[in-house]
Amino acid sequence: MTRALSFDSVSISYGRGVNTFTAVDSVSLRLVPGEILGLVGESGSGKSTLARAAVGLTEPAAGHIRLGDTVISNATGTAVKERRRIQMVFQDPQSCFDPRRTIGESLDEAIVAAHRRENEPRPSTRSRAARVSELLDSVSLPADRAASMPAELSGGQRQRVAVARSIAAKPEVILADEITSALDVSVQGTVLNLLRELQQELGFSLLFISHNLAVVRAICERVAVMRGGRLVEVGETLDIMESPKQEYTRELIAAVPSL
Amino acid sequence: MTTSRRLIASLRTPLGMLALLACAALLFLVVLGPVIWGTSAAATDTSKIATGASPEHPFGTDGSGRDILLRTLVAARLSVTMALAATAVGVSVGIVVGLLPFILGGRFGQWIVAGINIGVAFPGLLLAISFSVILGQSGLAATLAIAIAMVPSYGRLTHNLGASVWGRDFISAAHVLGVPVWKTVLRHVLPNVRDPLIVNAAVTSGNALVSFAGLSFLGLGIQVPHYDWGRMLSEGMSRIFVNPAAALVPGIAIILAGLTFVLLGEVLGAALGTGTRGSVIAKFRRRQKAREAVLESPASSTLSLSEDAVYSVRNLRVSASGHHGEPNDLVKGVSFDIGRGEIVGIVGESGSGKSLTLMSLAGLIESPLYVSADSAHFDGQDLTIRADGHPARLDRHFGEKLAMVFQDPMASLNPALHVGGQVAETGLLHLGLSRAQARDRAIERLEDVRIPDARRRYGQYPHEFSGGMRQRAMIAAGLMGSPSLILADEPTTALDVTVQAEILTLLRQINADVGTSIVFVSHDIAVVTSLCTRVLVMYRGHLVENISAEALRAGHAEHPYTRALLATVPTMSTPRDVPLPSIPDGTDFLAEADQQEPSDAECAPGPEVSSTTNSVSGTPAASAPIFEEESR
Repeated sequence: MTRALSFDSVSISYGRGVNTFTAVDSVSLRLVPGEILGLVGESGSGKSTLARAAVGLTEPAAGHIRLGDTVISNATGTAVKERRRIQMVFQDPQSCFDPRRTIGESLDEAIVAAHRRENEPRPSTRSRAARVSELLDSVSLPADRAASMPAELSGGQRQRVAVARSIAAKPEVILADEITSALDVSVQGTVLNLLRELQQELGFSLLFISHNLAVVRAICERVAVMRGGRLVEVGETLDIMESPKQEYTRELIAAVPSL
Repeated sequence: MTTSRRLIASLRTPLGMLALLACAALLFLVVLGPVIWGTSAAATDTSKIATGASPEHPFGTDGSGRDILLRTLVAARLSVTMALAATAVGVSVGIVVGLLPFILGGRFGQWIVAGINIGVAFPGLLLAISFSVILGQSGLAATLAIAIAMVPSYGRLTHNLGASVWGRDFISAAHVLGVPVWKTVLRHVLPNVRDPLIVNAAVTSGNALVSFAGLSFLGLGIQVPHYDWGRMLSEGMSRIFVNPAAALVPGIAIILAGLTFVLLGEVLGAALGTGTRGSVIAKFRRRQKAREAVLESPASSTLSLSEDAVYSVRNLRVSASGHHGEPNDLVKGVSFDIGRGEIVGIVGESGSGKSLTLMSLAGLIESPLYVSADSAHFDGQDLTIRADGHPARLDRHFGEKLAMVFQDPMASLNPALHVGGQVAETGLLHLGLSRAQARDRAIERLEDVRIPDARRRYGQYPHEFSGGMRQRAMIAAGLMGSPSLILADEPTTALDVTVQAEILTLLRQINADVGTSIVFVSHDIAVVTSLCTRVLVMYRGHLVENISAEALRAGHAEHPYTRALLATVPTMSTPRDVPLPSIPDGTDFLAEADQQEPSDAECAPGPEVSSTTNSVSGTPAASAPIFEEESR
């Protein structure tokens, strides 16, 4: 069962007093269960900040974030556990794994955390190892990769393991923050195809943050455009691509290279 | 290399041997010293009280007629174990204190950090003395006092190291997964800050030993009948004019033991990679090997060079020495010309050697890598080894005829200096302009790259510029002279797509207005195709395609890799709801190309490539090291 992730007039700011910087300015956005929503905008437009607020890495100064009917912003108690149903895949494949732990240990940590969240007993070492192999298999990596250190994997492979780690938490929503912008274009397709396949198979909804409109167009059903912390446009992908209402959206579309 | 291998390697250096030997000697004294000499060191010889050196007592006796040398050897156990105990306690508590702010967070965490900062403000020895006075006169009290004095500095060190790890994505990922904070700290922070702490602790043990001796010397540490080196020093001092050895021998012991710990720290530092890696000797050997490899090559071949090329290289190689010293080529012999007024793109995925190729054109390859080529010419000048055997330097071309633009404009501008001054610097250094002239020209150039209000912007700092403007300022700095070539290494990768479009327009305009050639390295074949007149495609160190952009756009790419790469670029007409095209893991296009058409990889001229030599893999011939890094 997947619930909707909704942002209700969410504002996020950093600093205090005169130095206050508003990164996100009363944004309302709803991620429909099971959809792939693209979130585009230039750097500093607040798109990553919005995603980080959804998983609790930062808290909104105003407004609410909800998963279904549960308010998960400024969460305490059970709401914190609910928030773990939202997972995030980060941009930088260099920094998203502990360089001193094997891939298997990193995945195991996610498996244990998911069981703890459900107040289930910690599964046996053997069943956890089996689950690690299963997760690696779901991102088309051989099971023996579990023994590899992150540095032994290519950027694309690491990003696939990062997807596997977020899947391990049995998420209802995955936030993908520029997950292919640090990758070569030749492996970008592999990671995105995989994410899309898993999305169809497992039914989670996906917030796909990117500045590459061509990629967004290819995989997202709807698109939201942010600029300067505000949401400037939301709509069906093809509608927005064909008749953008905002000048900025037009600029973004014009910036897509054509071969 | 694994840590254990590095440890063995660093133990095999002369320094490592010495450290090992010293540690073994110290360990021997600590374990067996009192067992072997304990009784004879305690034996008093009333007939020889406070005498000088004699055959029986090589360094004389103390006030009770006991042998100084034996007592020094026996005192090693107490001195060293006390120092180590103090270090162990101090470092452990310091680490806990340093990690607590992460676990507690919020206000409590801030209070602890503030406490650490106040603690650090007091000199360590002062703290040790004060606490020793408070805790009383005993060995245990002195140990505790020294440990307490260590806590603030280790707390600060741990917290600082931890803070740099704390901001990384794997910590965020652990938070998002719901891993308890204390587990995150123990599992992810502590192991990643471990190495510098170990190295520091080894050095600190030496300091603790000296501090301990200091406390005992002041009468605060070890009390009679026990004795350590500090105690012996203090007893010996009173008779230093009668028998200097009584004070000097324990003093020398303190110095030697302290040095042992410092040496150990050095060796551990080298093994754990916290110190400087790679000895000077190893570097020298690698360089020598590189030269030998060059000398062994057969005589140089002559290749026709096109007249109108700004830059031409033949059989350019960038190599690193492998594990056993044999060279490992990262760029495997590429040859190309950059024509006047051309915009040439070098494209390839990470690890293809495209950036290394560009860096070697700019003469920026540094040890442990080295560059060689059959020939290299820039603006009509030979860049290879000169008659006197020294490699010609490329430095003087910088600023005047050659400009370089890097990927990260924040890293290539000094954040502490005004942007304008950094742009004008080129004029001062390379063009011999006066300060005022350089300033005027810099403002002119900033206007040329369309920085609005250039006169005011001149005096601003890099952080006041946006990413795109910083990159423009870097280009302006390159344009201070009249460069015949601009080398750009992924100059738009860090920028937003809309800003990227502006920078590309600017480069195009500079090329059209002044006729400056541009080499543009990028991983993005779409950007390269839209900007450049000619495209070089690199794959695993080979130049696999050299084709005009027009032919590339028309779909005339010959190498299977180029075609596959083009197919993976998503565009606004990529079909939706079907899997995106991608290149699967482990595809070997070199083998594929060989199978398809044997000549493919050898020579891949684009149909309409003008005035340029297209030999892709150069003829095997002599390689001369060109602009190899000199000691800068």
